[in-house]
Amino acid sequence: MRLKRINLFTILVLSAVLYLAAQVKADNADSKTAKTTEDKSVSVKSKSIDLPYYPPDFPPGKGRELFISRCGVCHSLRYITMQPDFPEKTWTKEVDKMIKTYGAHIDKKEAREIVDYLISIKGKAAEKH
Amino acid sequence: MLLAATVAAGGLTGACTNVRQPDDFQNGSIIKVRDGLSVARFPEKEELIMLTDRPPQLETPLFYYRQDLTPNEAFFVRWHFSGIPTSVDLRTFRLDVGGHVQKPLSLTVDELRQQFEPVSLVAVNQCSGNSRSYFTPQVPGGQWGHGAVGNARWTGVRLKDILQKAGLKPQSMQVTFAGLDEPPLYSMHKFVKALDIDHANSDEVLVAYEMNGEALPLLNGFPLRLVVPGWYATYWVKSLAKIDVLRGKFDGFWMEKAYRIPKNANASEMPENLAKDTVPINKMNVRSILVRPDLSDLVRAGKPFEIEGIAFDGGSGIAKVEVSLDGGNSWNVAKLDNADYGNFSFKRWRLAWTPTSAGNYKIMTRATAGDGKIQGLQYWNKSGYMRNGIEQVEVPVV
Repeated sequence: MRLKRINLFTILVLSAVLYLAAQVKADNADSKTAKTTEDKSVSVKSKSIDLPYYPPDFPPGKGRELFISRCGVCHSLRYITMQPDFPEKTWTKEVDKMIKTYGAHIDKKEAREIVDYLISIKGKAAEKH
Repeated sequence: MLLAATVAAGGLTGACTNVRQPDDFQNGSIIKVRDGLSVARFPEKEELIMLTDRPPQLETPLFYYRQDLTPNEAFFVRWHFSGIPTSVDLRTFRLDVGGHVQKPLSLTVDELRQQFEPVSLVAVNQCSGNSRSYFTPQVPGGQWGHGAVGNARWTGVRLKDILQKAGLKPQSMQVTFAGLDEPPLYSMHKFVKALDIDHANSDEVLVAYEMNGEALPLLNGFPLRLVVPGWYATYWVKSLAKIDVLRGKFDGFWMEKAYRIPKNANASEMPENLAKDTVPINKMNVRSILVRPDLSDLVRAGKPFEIEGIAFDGGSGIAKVEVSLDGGNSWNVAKLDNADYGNFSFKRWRLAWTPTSAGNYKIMTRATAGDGKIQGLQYWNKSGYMRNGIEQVEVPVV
């Protein structure tokens, strides 16, 4: 009876371990490959992937929350992380482009605050020609 | 103490000096990244240089160009909008062909494979803004190094065969191409590109369903991608789902406002004097990229070393590549590989080098195309497009 209980317990534990291992393996497979579905009606497999996200950090400062919430609506904030330092004129033009060309929902006062924050993290003096 | 010194010396830009850099993914990788970037792994991809994650923009590390064809897993990725297709069901997917045609089509991928003659060709796919990060003065935009380019064997059907099946009506002028990707706001213009009818009807423009013998990765445009050999990748519409023939000229945002270059020989302008006349970007110019030495390659005085790289242009082929080891004072002719993948492909080249003494060497490379065009000075434009000036890489010899 005791032996039987151990066996049952061992089987349960082993199954759980195997199940978890299979899950881990499946997760790893997901991150590297696409999920494909085979269907007799089509000769090529359909595909599906899950995109990973890597949100970057930004230093505290006036305008940080506004910048994150307004700009992050449409695109990754890595668009800013990857930029070199630019003068105020360039950042103003970029924010203006997002509003006028792409229709970003940012009003004038907010735009000013966002530009100021961008200058505080990626700003530099104007270039002299 | 060190912290205080950094802050004091930092000034305006010092604000970000002490911020944790997003290098979590860089640890343990052999891939070197520029400031503000990381390495990351995406589905169906190897570890690549990540510019952005939403939408994904991923750069190929240079060492992948030590082979003729760039593996699908390492091929660069560039999308415009966050609404990219992450799931495509081929039971419902259709390529619609319409507009100024006699018989609109709605084709499954299987129908494309079965009803048209399959064609294969090797061609370079290069982002308009490849190498943008190296412009002086620097310009805003995707801060690419040299890795927004790849060379693959594309298999599919000729666009002209599809157009013929649909039956072009007289006076067709342009053909537009749209994919499954969607902008995040209604106020944005869907990504649509156009080609002139003669170009669309040329032999080399394909609708590809395979890349290097396999279905395309989703991030590279599964299940179909327009292949426009010799032209910048902006025309190679991914997840192609709609082709429309127009009687007139397409006036969409992505042709009329974006991807424009100054209308002059070198697509050049000055920061304080921007070009007034512009045209849509088109054919690629000639360029060469040094691929080796790179990363941890150790070059030793008195030991033979093989310098290698790639060269390509818009389809006239590569006639010659020269390498300077002394900052441009003298030039040596590199040996072009015998492998012939056609004029739209990378041409790989090598130069045997045994540095006589230790020190820093200035390596420069210069390609000449089949049409006689040769790399020279680097010109500037506000968008950071078409970079092809002679680059100089400083290489330490020990």
